[in-house]
Amino acid sequence: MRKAKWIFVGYLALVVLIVAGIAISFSAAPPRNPQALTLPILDSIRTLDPAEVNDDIGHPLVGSLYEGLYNYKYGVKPYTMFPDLASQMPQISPDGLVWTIKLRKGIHFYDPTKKVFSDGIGPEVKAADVAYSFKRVGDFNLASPNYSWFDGLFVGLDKWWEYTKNTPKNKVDFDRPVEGFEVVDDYTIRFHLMRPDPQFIFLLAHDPTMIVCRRAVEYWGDSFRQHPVGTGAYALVQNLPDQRMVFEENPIYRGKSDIDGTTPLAKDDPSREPHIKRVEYQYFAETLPVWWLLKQGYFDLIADIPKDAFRQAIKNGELAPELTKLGLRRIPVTETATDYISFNMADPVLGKNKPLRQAMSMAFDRTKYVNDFWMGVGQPATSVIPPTLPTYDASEKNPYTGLNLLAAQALMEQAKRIQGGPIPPLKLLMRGADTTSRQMGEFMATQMARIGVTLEPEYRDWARWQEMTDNRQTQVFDSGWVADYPDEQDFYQLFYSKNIPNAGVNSFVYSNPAFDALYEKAMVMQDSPERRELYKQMNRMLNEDCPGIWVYYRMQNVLVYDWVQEYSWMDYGYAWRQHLTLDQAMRTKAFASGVFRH
Amino acid sequence: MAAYLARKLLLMIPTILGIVVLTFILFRVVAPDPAMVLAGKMKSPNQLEALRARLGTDRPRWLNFAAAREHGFWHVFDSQFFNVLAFRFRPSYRTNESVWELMARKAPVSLAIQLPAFFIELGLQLAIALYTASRRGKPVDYVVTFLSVLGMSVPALSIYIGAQYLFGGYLRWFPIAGWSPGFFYAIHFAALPILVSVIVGLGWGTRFYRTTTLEEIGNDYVRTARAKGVAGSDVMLTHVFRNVLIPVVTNTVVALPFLITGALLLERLFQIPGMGGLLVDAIHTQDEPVVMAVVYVTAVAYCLMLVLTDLLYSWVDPRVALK
Amino acid sequence: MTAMAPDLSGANAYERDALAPEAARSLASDAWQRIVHSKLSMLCLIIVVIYFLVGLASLLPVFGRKINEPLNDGAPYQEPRLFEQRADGSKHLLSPAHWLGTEFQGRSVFWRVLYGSRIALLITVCASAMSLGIGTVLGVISGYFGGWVDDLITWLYSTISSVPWLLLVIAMAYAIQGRTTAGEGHPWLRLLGGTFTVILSLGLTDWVSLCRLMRGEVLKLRDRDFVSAARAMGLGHWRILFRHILPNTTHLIIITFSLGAVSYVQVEVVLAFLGLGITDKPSWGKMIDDAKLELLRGVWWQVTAATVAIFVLCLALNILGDALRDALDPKLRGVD
Repeated sequence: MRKAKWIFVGYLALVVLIVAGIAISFSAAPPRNPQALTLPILDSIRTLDPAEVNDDIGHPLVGSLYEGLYNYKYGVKPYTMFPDLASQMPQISPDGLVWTIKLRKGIHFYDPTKKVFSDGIGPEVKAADVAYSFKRVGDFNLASPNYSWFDGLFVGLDKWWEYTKNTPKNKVDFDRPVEGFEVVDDYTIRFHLMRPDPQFIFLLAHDPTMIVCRRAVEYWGDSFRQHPVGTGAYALVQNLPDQRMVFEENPIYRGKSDIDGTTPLAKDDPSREPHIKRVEYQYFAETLPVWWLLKQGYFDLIADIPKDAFRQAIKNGELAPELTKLGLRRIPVTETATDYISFNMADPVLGKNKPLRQAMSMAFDRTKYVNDFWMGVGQPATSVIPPTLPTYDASEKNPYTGLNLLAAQALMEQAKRIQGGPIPPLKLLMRGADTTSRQMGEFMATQMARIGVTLEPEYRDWARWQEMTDNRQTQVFDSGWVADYPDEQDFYQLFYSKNIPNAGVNSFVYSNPAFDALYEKAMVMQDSPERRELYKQMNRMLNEDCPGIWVYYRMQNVLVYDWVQEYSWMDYGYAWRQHLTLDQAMRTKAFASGVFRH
Repeated sequence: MAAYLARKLLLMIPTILGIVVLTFILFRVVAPDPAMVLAGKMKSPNQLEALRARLGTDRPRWLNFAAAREHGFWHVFDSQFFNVLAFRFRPSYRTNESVWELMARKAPVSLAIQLPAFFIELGLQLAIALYTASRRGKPVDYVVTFLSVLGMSVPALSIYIGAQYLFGGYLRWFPIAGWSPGFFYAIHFAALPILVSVIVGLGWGTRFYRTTTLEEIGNDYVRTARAKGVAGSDVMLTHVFRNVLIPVVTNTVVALPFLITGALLLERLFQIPGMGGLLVDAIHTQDEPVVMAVVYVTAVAYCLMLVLTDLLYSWVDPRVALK
Repeated sequence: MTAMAPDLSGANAYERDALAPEAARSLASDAWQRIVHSKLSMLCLIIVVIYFLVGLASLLPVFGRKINEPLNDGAPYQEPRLFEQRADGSKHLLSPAHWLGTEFQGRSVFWRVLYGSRIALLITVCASAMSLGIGTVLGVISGYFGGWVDDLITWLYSTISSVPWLLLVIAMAYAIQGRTTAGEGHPWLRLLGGTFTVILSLGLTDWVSLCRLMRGEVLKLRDRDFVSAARAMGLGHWRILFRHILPNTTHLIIITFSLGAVSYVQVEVVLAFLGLGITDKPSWGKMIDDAKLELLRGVWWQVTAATVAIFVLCLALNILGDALRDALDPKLRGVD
């Protein structure tokens, strides 16, 4: 009988011990590497395989680990291309169908795990690797989400797709030639296109066409996506999924993107990239911890103020004084991206009722929106084309994007006539159920109530939002587009009627033969005054038709501590980390000064 | 004994079947098509076809008549449902990792929070319950009872957010959130989540064990022991405590699988890379193999634990016979 | 909860003409007496009734207007506020309807908290009706008829109960959201707003505990004298079930309801955090979830108001549930 008593007492003692243990060791914080640039990642990493990556979080990581044939010059606007793994700009045949590209010599893949190649140094990058990387994207078994870039572009790729479809995954013979990817010699690759495509050069700078190492892919199999072997300035040295990811300098990197591998910069050359030898990423799913840790000086830079913390960060259109006091500065960047509210043109109420769409667009107070949600930072939209693209014309007035309640009410009278009665309540589908989405949904509804249009907001997470817009189960929905390359065509494809079956692109279900004709004409043209004129015409057409309410041009607010320098925002071309510098002394001083303590 | 075990284990089979059917219906019949979610922003029909083939969702859901006609009768079972039934879990849609590896990586992290929290909680609950039960009707009893009901009534999320803001952000006694491998670092990050989960769970258990203890105190043997002159604290700690152990065992054993699952909100808010966070992420991204596997594993563990509870009963209390 | 008294008297009527022992009647009225005489229980009952009434009142259109009415005092853009900052730097309370402060569009937190009781009411009443209905019917049938029906139902509930409840609710809510949309269908469905997802996922998963209790209770009652007597009198199964057995299990339903209501209100918070089953109307869960960000800029009044609202309701329900259990379940009497 005494036993039970001792069990109980012993148990209590154990509890006390555990509590004491916790109390003692809660000060044992893991050391933060003072040499490293520490950054947050706000979403889990799905893949680091260039062929598969297609999310905002993955692009910049892949861009630091791998290289493509071309890239965008860092910090140069308007965007300018330079040959990265290629040694010169492509030679294009007069009909625009054959692109011949020379490669740089002496660039080797690097394997940080030293498992594929025992000394970590892989083979030299050759034309066959380029062909291999392109064939991988067209492999049915890989099911790359980037295949739509390739679909119908290269000669013979459809045959390759069919072949891989009927071949089991591990039996696919990647030595089988594809006409579109012709290996001329070790350092020359020639692409054969189905149609002239002036935008192809942008694709050659995009992640899906970055060059991977065949032996590494074959060694790792499915887990290649977690074990990158590339030529980029950084190499992945630690990957704790959903916790932390550490990049370190690639020791055999040539030191600069636009030089040959045979003539690398010396190890002690101060201009050698990457300047910061170690980059650490910490994963956080919620905004709150990221924000606190930024304010505690743990993170050196965040690429954007989390939209949920926005109202705290910006006061009167400037960075809040409490943040500037810490040594943070704000770098405002107009992204090549537009946020809009889309109309489903296949909807019986909205599709046939142009005055209704115009009235709704006119009743939306964009200035109040920017004030209320973005603290006055950001530019109200006047068309779908953002100001960072060449044909954006600030002088061109769009009558339907200025707030004009009287005119909107007049249009509503017409709208009611077309409808043959009052406008029924419309469903508004918001992307996400987070606080900001909810507040935006409510804001929209309040705005539209002023012209007698009832909006019923619904909040769905990303997956369900996609399903509902793809299946056209929506009426009005919150949406937006971020450019993939610096050409207006990237936006106009959203309205091309032949893109309607490709779920996700023309989610407006907008179909206008006149627009299609202009689009098809412009699609094969090189940049020229004539093409710009076409683009402007297309823009006017969209403004008149109002398939969406153009809301605002997204503004990114990079927050960076003073000790991080040389930051420049890039919409495309993701290898920006290697250009940053870190002033160690300034950082130490800031921490010693005690601004990070309460 | 062996026969009893065998019978119990056999009875688990229909339950597990039921669980598979339930999760299958929820995630393969009602939920949206994962291919649409994973295909990215431009979904060409070709791309969707390839993705569906990779995910195995191109097959019929229940019975594959086409394959049966082509390759023979048994191929009728080459369908989504029977693949799941055979526990051929596909790798995670999201990361292509094997679900077993994923769980093996995440479960210890969840346990690192949940186990200490559970045992601290249990110890405190029992100690407080026994103490207040022995002081029944005194002010301390009322105060504790009231406090525990109070604790049960506050939403856990408010406590989590409040504690994170106060201790992590404002006072900076604990890290805000995060995780790091290594024992001491783990404790560093686990301390606040453990503390918070103890606070959240304390009220319910204290009240429950207090009631149980009071029921025991009302029994004749306690009065007999007292009458025989056994000291009050000895009565509590030996006689009463022994009998209170039965509900303790039930609660503990049944709670074990849930310790592995972790706390959904807590892990997400404090950025602990455990099973709870995995589940939330998986549910959000339609990662059906992961959800299916976690639900399945928890459920099986739960069923096993129920059998274990029966065995423990007979060990704690020899009067309980296994039939 | 006001529905409770007639329920019990209904049970009395049934029990009297059933061959039930007189004790049952005195149990019910005795329970009622106990609640009325305990000051604490009475207070809790009043609180619950007030919440119920506020919830009902929030169905009135005036509430719909009030929650969308911004406080208009010419601030450049609306910020959540608790005080009015005068030009001379002094702080003053806002108008009485805004004493609890305003949210980001300058709308009154007070009215929005009141409005939150509507969602809570809808969820508790509808989900309880659903889960209690399913639980009672399946439990009674399973206990009374036994045989394969019992096996089937036992299988069903043991399957469902072996999945962690919260996980099941979340999975269910995830799967059915979007399949049920707010503005569609019958006007009665519209009245539910977007809470349909939450109601369905709670109602379809939470019947298990009651079903198990009912089954056990009916198993006991089945062999009691008054049931045997009824059977001997040649009464049909359904008559025996609904006139003789069911009235004797009312206490289980009431206790389960009072405990279930607490967990429903709390689960709504969890679902709001996960972004499931969100409607465009204010709910306590959403208000607490918003605190993740609002606390960052020192806006604490909205989360506090919503937490207190939930807290008081759950506290009252918990205490009341205890009192009910003590009063209705004689086995436990004398323990507290």
